[in-house]
Amino acid sequence: MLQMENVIVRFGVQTALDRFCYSFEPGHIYGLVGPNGCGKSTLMKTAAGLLKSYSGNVSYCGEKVKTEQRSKIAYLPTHPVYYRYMSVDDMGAFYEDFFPDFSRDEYRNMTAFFGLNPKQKLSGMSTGMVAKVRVAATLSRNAGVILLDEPLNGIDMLGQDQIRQIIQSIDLAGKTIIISSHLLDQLEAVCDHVVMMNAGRVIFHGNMAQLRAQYNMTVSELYRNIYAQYFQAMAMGGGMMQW
Amino acid sequence: MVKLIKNEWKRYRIFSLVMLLTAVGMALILALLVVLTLNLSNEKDTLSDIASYGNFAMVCIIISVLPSAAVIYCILSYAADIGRKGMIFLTPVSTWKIISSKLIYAAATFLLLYAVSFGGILLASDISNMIGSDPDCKEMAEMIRKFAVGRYLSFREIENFPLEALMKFILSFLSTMHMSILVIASISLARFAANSVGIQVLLSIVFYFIVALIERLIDMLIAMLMNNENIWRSMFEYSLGNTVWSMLSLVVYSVILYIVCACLTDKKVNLVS
Repeated sequence: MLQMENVIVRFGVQTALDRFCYSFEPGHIYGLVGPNGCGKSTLMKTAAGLLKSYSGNVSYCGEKVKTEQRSKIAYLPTHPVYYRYMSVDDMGAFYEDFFPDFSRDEYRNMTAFFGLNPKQKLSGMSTGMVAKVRVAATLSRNAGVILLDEPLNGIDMLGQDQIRQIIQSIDLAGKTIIISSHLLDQLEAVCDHVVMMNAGRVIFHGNMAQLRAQYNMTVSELYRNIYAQYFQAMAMGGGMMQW
Repeated sequence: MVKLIKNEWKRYRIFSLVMLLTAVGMALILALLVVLTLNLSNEKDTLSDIASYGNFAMVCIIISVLPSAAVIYCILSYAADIGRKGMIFLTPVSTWKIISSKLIYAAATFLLLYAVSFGGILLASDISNMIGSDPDCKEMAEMIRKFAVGRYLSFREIENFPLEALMKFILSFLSTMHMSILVIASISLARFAANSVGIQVLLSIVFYFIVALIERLIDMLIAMLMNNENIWRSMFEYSLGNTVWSMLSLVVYSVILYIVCACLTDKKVNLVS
């Protein structure tokens, strides 16, 4: 279980995470949504152990998230992270060298599934193709927590469907997957839980199927309603709305 | 560690090869200049002087600038890793190991470039010795050798060329490694102190000079405490004792900076923008 308790992250005067509390349970796929700047990426970086200047507690399986926990937490950042020398194959070799839970065969299968040339340099690829390579590398790890920060950015619709298929095929036993995205329709298709954030806090969360049944609307519609009411409530004096 | 160094090699092989080729090229140019000087030795004095000054300038550039590639590599590698493209910091490898691998790679770069540079200078000196038969050539060969070794050191105690060269090498090696870790530590201090990249760059430079100044002040303070009456002379004139003392202080500062840098990066520095 990935647990975050009273996590506060500040960048200068701006508070990115404001006493954030949430427990991400194994066996579930969480969709992390919210408007730009609400703290989704900061949450991901903090959970991945890349942001050090924070207060509160971030733990995985009872242990504080530190460098060693990166062997159990797979993280896909929003921005393209790769070295210029790398080809598709080199990326696999790098992951194999540094992540004990990485499966080179699975990576080869996934990149082949995406139709990528193993010898092609990443620096010569389009944004979408690089995104596919990075997704393949991250999902080829057998990590307990998989953090995907906007994995569908720049990927064409067919590619998005392929990624969705791969995520849906993952055996979730003992695994937690957290996906942040603005593409709610895609998230709705793969996630079983939704966490809505604003100003560094959780403003709404729940099981997708239950929410759909309870409110008789899609997650996109629910998102629009919740944020409309939230901002209205904030404008009128800050009281939390009732759902 | 081997995997980390392999990764550094893959990333910086072009840079390393370019620097190596530059070192070889400069050594060859020096050898050509020496031949030119020897041929001009009977010509007009001005031309001969220009050529021989060119030799010494070349020796100076080769011996002082080329090994600095190790420091440049450290700036490139660490600054890139700690910034947005820090793929290595996404791995479960400890910061201590990552920084160590960079220092080992910097040391290897230094050793290779130093070997090529120094080899080139000795080659030029030997050419001068072999080609010219008159005393001028012998004198020039000796001067090139002395100049290469004696840029920092002018040991009155040592008359033995290999020992003098070894001392020069050790001091250059320690200075370069110290400068490399000082650069890395300055970047990590700046990264910890500010979020904006522009301010981080400015702070890195400021921290570099502040830390270097503090080190000099500590050196002077220790010299004063040890009742060394001629502090200024001891800092600029190199005797064997002073050089050994400098080496020791460089090692101590480097170890302290390494610990500060690794602890800071491990515990405090945000590894992503």
